[in-house]
Amino acid sequence: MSHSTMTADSAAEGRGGLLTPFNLITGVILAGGAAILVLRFVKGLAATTNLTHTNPWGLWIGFDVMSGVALAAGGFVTSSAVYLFGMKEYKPVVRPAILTGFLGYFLVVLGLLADLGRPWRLPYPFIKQAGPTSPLFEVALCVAIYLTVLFIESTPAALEWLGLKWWRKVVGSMTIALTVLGLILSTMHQSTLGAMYMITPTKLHPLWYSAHIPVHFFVSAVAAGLAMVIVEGMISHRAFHHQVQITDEHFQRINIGLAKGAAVALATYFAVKVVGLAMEDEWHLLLTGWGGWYLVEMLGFVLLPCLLFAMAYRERRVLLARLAAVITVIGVMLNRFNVTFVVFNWDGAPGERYVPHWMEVWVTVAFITFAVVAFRVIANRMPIMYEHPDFKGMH
Amino acid sequence: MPRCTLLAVGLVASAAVAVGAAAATQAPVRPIPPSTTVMTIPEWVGELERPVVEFNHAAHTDALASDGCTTCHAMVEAGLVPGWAPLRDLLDRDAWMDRAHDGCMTCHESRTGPTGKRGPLVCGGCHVRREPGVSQRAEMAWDYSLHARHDQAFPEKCETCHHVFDEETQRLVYRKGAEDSCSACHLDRDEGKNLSLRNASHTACVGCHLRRAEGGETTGPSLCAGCHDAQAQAGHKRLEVVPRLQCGQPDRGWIGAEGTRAGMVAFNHLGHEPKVSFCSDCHHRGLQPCHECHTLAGAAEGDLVTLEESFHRAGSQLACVGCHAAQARAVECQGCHRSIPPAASQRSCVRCHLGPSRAVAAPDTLPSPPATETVLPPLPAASDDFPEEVVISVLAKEYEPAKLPHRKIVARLDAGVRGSPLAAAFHGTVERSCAGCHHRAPEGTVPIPCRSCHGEAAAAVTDQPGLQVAYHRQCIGCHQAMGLPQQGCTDCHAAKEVQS
Amino acid sequence: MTISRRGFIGGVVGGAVAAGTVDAATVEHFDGYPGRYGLLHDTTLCVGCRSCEVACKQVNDLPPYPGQPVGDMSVYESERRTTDTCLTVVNRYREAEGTTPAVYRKLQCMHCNEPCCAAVCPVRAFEKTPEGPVLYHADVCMGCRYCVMACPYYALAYEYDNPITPRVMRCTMCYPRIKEGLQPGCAEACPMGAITFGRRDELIRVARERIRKNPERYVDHVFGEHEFGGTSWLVLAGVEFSELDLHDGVTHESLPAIGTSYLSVVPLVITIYPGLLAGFHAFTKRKEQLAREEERAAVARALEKAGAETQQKLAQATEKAKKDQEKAVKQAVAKALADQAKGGE
Repeated sequence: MSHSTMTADSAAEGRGGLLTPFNLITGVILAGGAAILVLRFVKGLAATTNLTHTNPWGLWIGFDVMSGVALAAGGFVTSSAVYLFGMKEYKPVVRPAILTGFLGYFLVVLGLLADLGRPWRLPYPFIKQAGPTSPLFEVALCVAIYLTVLFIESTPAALEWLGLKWWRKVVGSMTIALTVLGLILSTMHQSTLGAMYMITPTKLHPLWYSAHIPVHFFVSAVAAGLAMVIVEGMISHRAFHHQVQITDEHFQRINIGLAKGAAVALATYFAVKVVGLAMEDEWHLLLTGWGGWYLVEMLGFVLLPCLLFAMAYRERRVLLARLAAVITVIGVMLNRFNVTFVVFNWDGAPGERYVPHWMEVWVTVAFITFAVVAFRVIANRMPIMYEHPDFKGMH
Repeated sequence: MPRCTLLAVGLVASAAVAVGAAAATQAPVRPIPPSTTVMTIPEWVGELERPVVEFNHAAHTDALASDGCTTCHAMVEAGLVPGWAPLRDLLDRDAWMDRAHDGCMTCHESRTGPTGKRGPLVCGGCHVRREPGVSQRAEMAWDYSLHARHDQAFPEKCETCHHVFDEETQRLVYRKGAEDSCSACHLDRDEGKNLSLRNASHTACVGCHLRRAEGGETTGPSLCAGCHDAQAQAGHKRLEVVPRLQCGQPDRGWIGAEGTRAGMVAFNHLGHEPKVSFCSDCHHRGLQPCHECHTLAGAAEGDLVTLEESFHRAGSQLACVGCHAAQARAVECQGCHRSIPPAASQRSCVRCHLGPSRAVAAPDTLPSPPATETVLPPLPAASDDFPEEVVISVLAKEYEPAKLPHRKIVARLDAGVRGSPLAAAFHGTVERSCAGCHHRAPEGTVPIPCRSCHGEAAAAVTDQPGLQVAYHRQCIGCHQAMGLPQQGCTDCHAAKEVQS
Repeated sequence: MTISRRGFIGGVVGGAVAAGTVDAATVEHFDGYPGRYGLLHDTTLCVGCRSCEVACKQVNDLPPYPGQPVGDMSVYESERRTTDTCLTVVNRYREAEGTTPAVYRKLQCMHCNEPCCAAVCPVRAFEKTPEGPVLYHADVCMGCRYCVMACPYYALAYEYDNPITPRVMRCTMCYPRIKEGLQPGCAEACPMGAITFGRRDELIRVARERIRKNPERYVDHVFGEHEFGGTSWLVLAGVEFSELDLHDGVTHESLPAIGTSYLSVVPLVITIYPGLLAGFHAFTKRKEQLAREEERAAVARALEKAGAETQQKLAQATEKAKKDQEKAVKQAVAKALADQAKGGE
């Protein structure tokens, strides 16, 4: 069944040629992004960004690195659930989640290559001189290894597509080890991304700054990952419906289960934040302007989706779960943006506030488009949304 | 269901943002008008649960104009007792609070003001929760002019105000010749029947003013704002020429306390009288001589301030040295005095201690010291030793040599010295003015140049600046202290090449 | 992959032991290199002439500031910060009022005792030298700008205009000049002596002495002695330090200690997680195995039960059939006999 649908699909692509509306739009976006990147390397960061000496990190770090890593967390969450905690019914979403994760982390690296002053020196911490006191060093190391892990975890689909049975078995036997390694690495770098801000207590508003930022970032990453799996499933389930083998009822069960997990994660996150407020006696700060913004983030984008997820689980309504997932994704992005450049330098910093340059936005959108296109290309050819008949039942 | 949740949450969030924005905006400091009394709560009342009441005295006098002050204040022989009479002589917190509340509320409940409005009837109406305010009350100070005006109103009738307390009869009596200042007996706080200076002066002054006003005679203010409002104070009549207040003080006398051996100080009392606004500026607790309370070793009556401190403490306006140091803070003096420590130095002792030692003779056995006034010789003409212009070229690199109008600067400083008898007396010689710039060097007619001591590099151990820094700090520091407009580099030395 | 119970317990215990071998008692306390240099900035002496800015540009070969720096007081109308071409700037924080002069302060890298920039650089591009200055090595920098983001004094700038060789730009305390025995350019150029160069411990003593001799002139505090672990630039002021845009009343604990102490968790995670997670996997697998066995047993039982029932039913049916058959035979015999009797008449 799958083979025939695959070829039918490729044929469908060939019929309209390469000039489908989807291809045209993505093509324009990607071409524009490429042009801007060329400009960035010809004229320097000043030509394509609004970065200043006071705000050295902007949208490319805030979205591509901070949000990207958080939203790509679905890979380790689902694979841990299935392979380490035995939740077999989520198996169908593991491969798409891993692929999303891999493309997400690839995006992170792309974003870094655009943002770094000298991106060709990206391997320097490992090959030239290490700075092990730096949280960023730990993040770089973990992300580099984890990208490799994700790559290897994504190879089964390719190997099945290529029919390389022996290699497929070898990689399959590494699944548990890779999953464990992935969870370790993810715990470390998700939380360390938050820990990077612990050295700037004077620059981050006290409602966002805490000795427990690493915990905040890790727990919100778990929630973000689960929400992204729901969101990505929402889109790809429809786009690749012809490939999908599981029943609608199974897919619904998966979504409801993910909703439960997300509700727990968001509730944990909310509780940690509230306890933090109480311990630091920061209640009075909630009455300030920034406090209002904090309440918007916490009530509108953490508590609300948590309740919606819980409701979705109770009433078995996938639509609610999807709505909550979208809000969660936006909420995590909002939180990362806040920490990176909205609430950062909230008080007393010289110069003007940072607002992303339109070119920064275009490049970010181009990176996301690239990931979507890549996903589509891979999912159309390789067994991501379905199980290859020759390899049914394997890890 | 989710739509309602969304809406509710959105509203709450918007409200939070609005509240926050409002709270974040800074409010200006709240002034409390002089006619409002911030109630002083006795210490023994203890911790307050509600904000202190700001009592609007003017509103009450307006509302009770027809009834008069005695509605609340007791009028006794001594005058009008400040504060609300029923609150006096209470020592129990609850009784105090209850009586205050009963008194105020009875009136608020039963009466209305001229506009028909009642006073506040709920707790929050009087105990208003708001940010702390700043009272605009100006202190009322007694001075020669006021005393003279009162003297002229009651000629030869000193007993109108002056009294002493007779221990035997336990009454206030008048003793001619023993008129002392109020602060001789009336201190910071009430001590039994001996009221604090504040309460005593309000009782006597306001009481007298009220009685005279009732009798239709011209009199002083009896409302708070009449004295304690800065604008009202500016409107008080002042005598141009005030006759000297004679209390038996000498024109000039010797200051020397028993037990001291230093040369006595010839004190020109007559010369010092116009320098203060009233006797109590120096005689801060009664008119007696300083050593009666400030003994050699320090006594309780003198707050343990020793005799030496009472004359020499550099930070106190009550001490000779301190008041003189304050004079040196005038702008004309600060050019040099900005870097001279205010405390008395060994060199300046002889300026004052010129008389015979106390061990030799007592002050009252000696004739009164002569009246002296230091007359400084005129500034010498320009010469090689005292150049008209000094050209500083030793460090000229990026700039042309600096041309210093030397004699003009000295003349300006000298004019400041000549204009003040105090300065002239302490300077003593014209050459002393040289020491302002030519500091830490032997005095003489040929002061040494800066480069004699200041090398090119700074000396870290003594924190002595290098020559360039010494020049700039001395010149610029003096200009700043004397209020001259800020000068750019090229105002003193032209640039050699264009700086970019 | 299966892990035995023994293996799991061993993994967890081993991890905990490994993590616990870090002995806190052996951590030494380092007060900084003795004899290191510093600079004392007495803001009460600064008149805002900006000779320090001019000298800094000359020493570092930077493009000159447009317009005449000295005397052009309009530059103080806005607060400036250091940039990639201006390694130090002077700001005015209070205007002159009568005989009270204006208040200025010079901003530049503070050359902290425990620099944030050095702690957060992933390639260790910063070096705190024994002489005091913090140096930046552009030959390893990859331009992540974490240092720029972390500096609490906003002292670092980045060459965003440079596409290929951008560097972090900051005051270097004129390290080459110090090595030659000279003073930093700004200290030498200041005509008012508002910048004094010397040994840091000496300068603290000098600062305290100035405060003691002139208590009305100074706020009784030497900024930089302990703030965030202490800096090489010490500041004296006649106004509150918060008015000069310096963090007043901040912790004496160094920011790197606060900001990177979290990394001590990493070895714990690496050692504990593998055993823990493998354990979870083992539990899960065991659970699944038990479930499978139970299922098998249940099926077998059911089959057995079904078999027994069938046998019983078969026996009953056979019995019944036999009885029926006997009954039928009897009936048939009886009928046949009856028929025969009838037929016989």
